[in-house]
Amino acid sequence: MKMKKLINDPLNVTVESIEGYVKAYPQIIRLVAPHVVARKDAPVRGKVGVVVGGGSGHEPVFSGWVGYGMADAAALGEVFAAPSPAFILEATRAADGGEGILYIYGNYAGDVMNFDMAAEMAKEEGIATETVRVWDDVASAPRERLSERRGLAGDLFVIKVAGAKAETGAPLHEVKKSAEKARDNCRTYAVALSPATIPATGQPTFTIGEDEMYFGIGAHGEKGVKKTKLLSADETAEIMVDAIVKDLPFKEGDEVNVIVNGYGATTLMELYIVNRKVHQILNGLGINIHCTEVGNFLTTQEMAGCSITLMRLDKEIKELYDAPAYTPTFTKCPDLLKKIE
Amino acid sequence: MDKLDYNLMKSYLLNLSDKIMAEKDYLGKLDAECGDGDFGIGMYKGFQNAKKAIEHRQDGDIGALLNAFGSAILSSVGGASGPMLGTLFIEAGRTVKGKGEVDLSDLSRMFQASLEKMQLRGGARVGDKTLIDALYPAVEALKEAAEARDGLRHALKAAAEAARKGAESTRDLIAKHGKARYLGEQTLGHLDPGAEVIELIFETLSDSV
Repeated sequence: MKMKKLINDPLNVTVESIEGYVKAYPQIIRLVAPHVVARKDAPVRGKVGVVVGGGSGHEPVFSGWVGYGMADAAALGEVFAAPSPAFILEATRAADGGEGILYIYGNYAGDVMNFDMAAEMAKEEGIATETVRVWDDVASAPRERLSERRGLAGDLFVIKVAGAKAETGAPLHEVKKSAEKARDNCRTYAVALSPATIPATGQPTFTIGEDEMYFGIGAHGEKGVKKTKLLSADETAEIMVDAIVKDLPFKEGDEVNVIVNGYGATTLMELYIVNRKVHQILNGLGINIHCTEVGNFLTTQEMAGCSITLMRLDKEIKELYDAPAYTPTFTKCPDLLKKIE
Repeated sequence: MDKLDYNLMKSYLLNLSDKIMAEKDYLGKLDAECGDGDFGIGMYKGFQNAKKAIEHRQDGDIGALLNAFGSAILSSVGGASGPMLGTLFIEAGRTVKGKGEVDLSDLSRMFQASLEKMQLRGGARVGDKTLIDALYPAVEALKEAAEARDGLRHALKAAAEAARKGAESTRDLIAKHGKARYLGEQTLGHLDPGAEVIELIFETLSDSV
């Protein structure tokens, strides 16, 4: 059955979706260019500007995390493509408060090329930039080649930590260092049950049997590495957590944050069921869980599936992650939480 | 004929844009086999914009023409193809800035400059199953022809044939770059869509003389 979508001209999905998003949250964000959004009050003087970006088909990631305590600006590409250098440069200028810019994005060839070109252009304008690429996907390359791995939902952890560090007024090299530390302590594994369709083509991004699932799936619906018959949530969670834990490796006594991320078509019900098992497994391993996020953070249109992310915490990362943040799709209010706990 | 003048270059670029836009579905299909299937649309939008950027130009400067063409691609395609194909035309243009006509030795230098900058940015080598597999042999063919003081028509035919063979060779390669590289051996038997675009670039150029 061909997927139906509520869109207009498929070639305009990115521009229209961004317009609609900005209209929803005018108190927090503003439109800088057709593919660029920024924090309403950006550039914020006296702090490093965090600029994020990537394809626009993974909402809420990137544009959804622009605001206080996370990203100052985001540049979006077409659904599954990196943004062009021109848009990244506009985001850079919008976020430039005079203390330099940190680029954070998923580690994909297109994003790397476009952001690097934008960094060269920014340098010519006198804006200093640093870069942290997220490469948390354990299925995409072996441990010996970490920097070849793809970026998945670990984006949330890295951008949150960097955003919090930037709010403290820390200089660029320190914000970069904290972001890298978060990145280095993140591991993710993903699985898909059914494919996404790209609006402009209307075609599914891969084929899969009615009774099958794909382990090691990519964020753009790239074919997974291992196909199996559909397993139960518990069996799936066991395979995924095992791969993640072994990879860092996470050990007994470690403290972690967890993300159980839905890819778009998977219900919260399913994500909670997976999370239940994730907690059981980690408890059994003596790994302590500080904070869990369950929901859609890095989606792939209407792909069904989920990813699990663990981030090992130290005192600094833990505090930075818990620090206040206010964006259209993600908030942290430690003061309000204190009233309930 | 042994030179391409401004008008001929302009009509080549417009022609090329039409050709690539017409292949939107085919290129998308190739991309879907080892990637996410959006390459055809990216190329369509990019070359549509590139066409708009040059169709009313009359400045007589081939370098500026190619720069405008490439810049439009760079700013509208995104992904990995935007930087690669944008750079191809921008660097070619940089080499012949201010010139009103180009001969074989100019064309050889142009595409050599494109190749070098593209390899610097993207890091791909021959054998990685990318557009470089078609571009490298085409550039080599032009270089040889220029050194042998070949005729322009003959040289461009040779370059087009080399690009065609190079693109075809990607079928038997395992992808080492881009989204396809995570599929390993699953990429065998599939043509690289970027290499197909390079083939079109040289074929159309050859046909224009």
